[in-house]
Amino acid sequence: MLIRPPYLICVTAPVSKANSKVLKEEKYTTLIDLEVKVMIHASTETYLLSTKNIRKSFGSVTVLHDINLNIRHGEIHAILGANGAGKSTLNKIIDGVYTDYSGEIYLNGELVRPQNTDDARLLGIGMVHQELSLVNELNVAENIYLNRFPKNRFGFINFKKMHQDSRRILDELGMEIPTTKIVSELSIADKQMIEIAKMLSMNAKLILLDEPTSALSDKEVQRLYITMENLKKRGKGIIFNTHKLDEIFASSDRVTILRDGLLIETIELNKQKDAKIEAQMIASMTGTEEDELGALYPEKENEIGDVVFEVKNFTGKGFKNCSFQLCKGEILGLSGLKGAGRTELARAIFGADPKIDGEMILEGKRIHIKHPKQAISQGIGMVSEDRKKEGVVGLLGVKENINLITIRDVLKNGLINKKLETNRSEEYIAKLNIKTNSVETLVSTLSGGNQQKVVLSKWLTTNCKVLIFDEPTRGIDVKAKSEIYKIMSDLAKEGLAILFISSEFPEMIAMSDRVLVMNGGKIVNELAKEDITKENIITSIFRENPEEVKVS
Amino acid sequence: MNAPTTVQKQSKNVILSRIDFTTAGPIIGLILTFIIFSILSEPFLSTANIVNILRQSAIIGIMAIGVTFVIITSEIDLSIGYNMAFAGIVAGAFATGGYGLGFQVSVFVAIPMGILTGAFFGYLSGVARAKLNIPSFMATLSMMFIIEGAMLWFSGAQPLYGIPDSMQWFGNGNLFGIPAIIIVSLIVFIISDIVLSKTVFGRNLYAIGGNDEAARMSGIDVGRYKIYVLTISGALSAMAGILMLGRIGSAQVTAGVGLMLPPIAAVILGGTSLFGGVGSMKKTVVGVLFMAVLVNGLNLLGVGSDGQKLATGIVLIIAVAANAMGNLRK
Repeated sequence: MLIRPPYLICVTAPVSKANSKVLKEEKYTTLIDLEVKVMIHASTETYLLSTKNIRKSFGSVTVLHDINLNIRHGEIHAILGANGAGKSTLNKIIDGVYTDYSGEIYLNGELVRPQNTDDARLLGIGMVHQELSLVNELNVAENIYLNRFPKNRFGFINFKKMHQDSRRILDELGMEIPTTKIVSELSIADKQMIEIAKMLSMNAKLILLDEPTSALSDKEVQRLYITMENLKKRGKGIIFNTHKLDEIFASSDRVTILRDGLLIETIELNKQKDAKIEAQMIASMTGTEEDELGALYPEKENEIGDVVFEVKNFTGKGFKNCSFQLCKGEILGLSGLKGAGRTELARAIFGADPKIDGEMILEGKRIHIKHPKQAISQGIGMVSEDRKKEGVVGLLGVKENINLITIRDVLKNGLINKKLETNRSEEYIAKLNIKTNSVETLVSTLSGGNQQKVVLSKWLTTNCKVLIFDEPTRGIDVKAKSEIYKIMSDLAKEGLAILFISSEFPEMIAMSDRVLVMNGGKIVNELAKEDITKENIITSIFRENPEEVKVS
Repeated sequence: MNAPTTVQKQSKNVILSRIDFTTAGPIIGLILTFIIFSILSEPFLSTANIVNILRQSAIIGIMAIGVTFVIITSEIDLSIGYNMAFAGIVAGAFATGGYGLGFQVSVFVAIPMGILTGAFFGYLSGVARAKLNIPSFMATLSMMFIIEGAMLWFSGAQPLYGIPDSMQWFGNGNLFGIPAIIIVSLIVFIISDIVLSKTVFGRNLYAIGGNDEAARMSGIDVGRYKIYVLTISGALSAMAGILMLGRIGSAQVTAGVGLMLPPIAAVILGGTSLFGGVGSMKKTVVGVLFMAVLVNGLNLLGVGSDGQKLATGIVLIIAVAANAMGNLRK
């Protein structure tokens, strides 16, 4: 017997004009014995899952606008979109992670509103996350039945039943691994299968796969497709998140394209690669209207000088054979999707992570960097992507953070001179317009934008020649963003060479003098001047088909 | 009539919110305890007793100062107790030729030998932490056993008597009428306080303890600093071991028993965060004195060892809970 959330008792679904042909006024009645009478929609087709006008905002920003998504029984449905298009937010709403949205979700024609992930599981919605949520130290069966262990009459775990049931599910999936195997010994592909098995053990009707192929080899991807087909034949619905067009053609029945929180269109596919449909998909993802570039960005007037920094054949974990040149006064954009290898490349240049091969030339001299310390002494700086983890020391004050790298400049007789330190901090607070009560204020109490300005100040004290900006505007408000763009532009004018990593296309396009596009760990395209358009970047990312970089 | 009171209230709130309770709490506690014992016990406030409290806190104090460097970087050193005892034994053996050593050196060589021994074991813990990536809890716990083993082998588990007076002077002598042990710990405190609060070295320790990844990305060689702090902690606990020779008049294998955790407790009691990044030498001194005053006062009131330990435990819990609540409010 399914236990249903009490709010299902007598719920009246409002009439929506937009969907009036699908949705007539309906009443759901639940009898006291929990036997549920469900009124089926007066539609020609009952979808497994159907969302009506889903809208979700974070603060004042609306990230999903009136999403009407329909998933059929026994369908593999791909969802395609660039970073920030709203894919993961939509997933999280269906999975019960976000509950403060407007709109309705119907599962088998029945209004549901999962309040948390456990609730979603009870309703038959299963989710397989990118970062797998298995307990590595437990065995396969224990993971499948974690927290739902079958018990015997003494209240102890019924191991025999647990292993038998797990075996049955694994057999259905064509998995031969023993149920007693410890999960940490499995490959990522097998772990993913265990996650799917876990969802099946909970009688999932709808399974959400969040970029399941990102860590798999080609052979493993093929096996996953077979499993997906299998599940489909058993009537399960599958939502398949990806940003690889080939995979969509190879596996999916339909694809829905999201862009900037809008559902652009849903396209029927026939398992064959079709250039026309591909072009249509790219066009939908890109959008035709220009983004309002407005006053947010400063004018591009960088005077580009000679080559100051060169990277040759850089290879390491997550990137392969990357080479580029960076000029004095230039902002060089590094574009691509998450996981394309941009941050990995930048960290290796800066010495934060080891590289396997490659060389660097700064101002005509070969340099060797194995630790950020060496990068800084050579004149290379990096504003990290993760401000909290790698940028600021939140427990220390503004002045300690600003002077963190160049603390030796404010010494007097070998000791830190508070006055020199404060003066220099105040200079940068004024210059970068940092909003803080005092130089002593703990950085953790500042807003994201002001924290980022503190990080920038820290690097500006070093007089570096090359500065890497990794997602410098992530999580900060529009006003602070435009200030940071202004600072970047001013620095370039002063002759600094900037490597600018960003996942947001508008800022990439507006700020960069040149753009390198990365995908699968390789630089797949270089765009300059008027070729720097959203369409060209997206086409480079999605059309190119680089071999997977597998470097241990 | 109403207006001024609101203003007053507001200014009061502003003042209250400006007080840093993690700093002020232990100081208020220390002062309150001091006042209470002054009222309850007549001999408590005598000069002789005050000097006694300072003498009693010197050894734990120097060890606590050493371990403060370690805790600020969000590491821990559990080997300080045995490091202290072994340094005393080594220094004593070199000065007397005891334990069948067969030769004898000047006290001015023997003392550095003892301190170097402590620094050496601290350095080993540091290397284990930085190069082998063993958590300092385990690295220094293992080092504790290694030192104990080395000490039992070296000494045959026997105490050593006949420590030269010049060596004992640091623990029981006087300079201008002030016990040398107090002067030594005061000097150690002043130097350590300057190092921690005014030098690049000290500042980088805070950065590492506050966010080691950010420190690394700012060009700080985090591993090297971890070796430094554990070496300092070893050296300072060895110095405490030299002072101990004069306090008890002999080198004892058991001198460090029960002295592993009180210095760490004192550091935390003073308001330094066990998780690193927050704290100071001044806080450590407050914590050390707080514990010493508590034990001394209860002693004078006739409360035995059992009651003293009980009280120390309760005060520690209250202090740490107050600290945690203060952090929550932030």
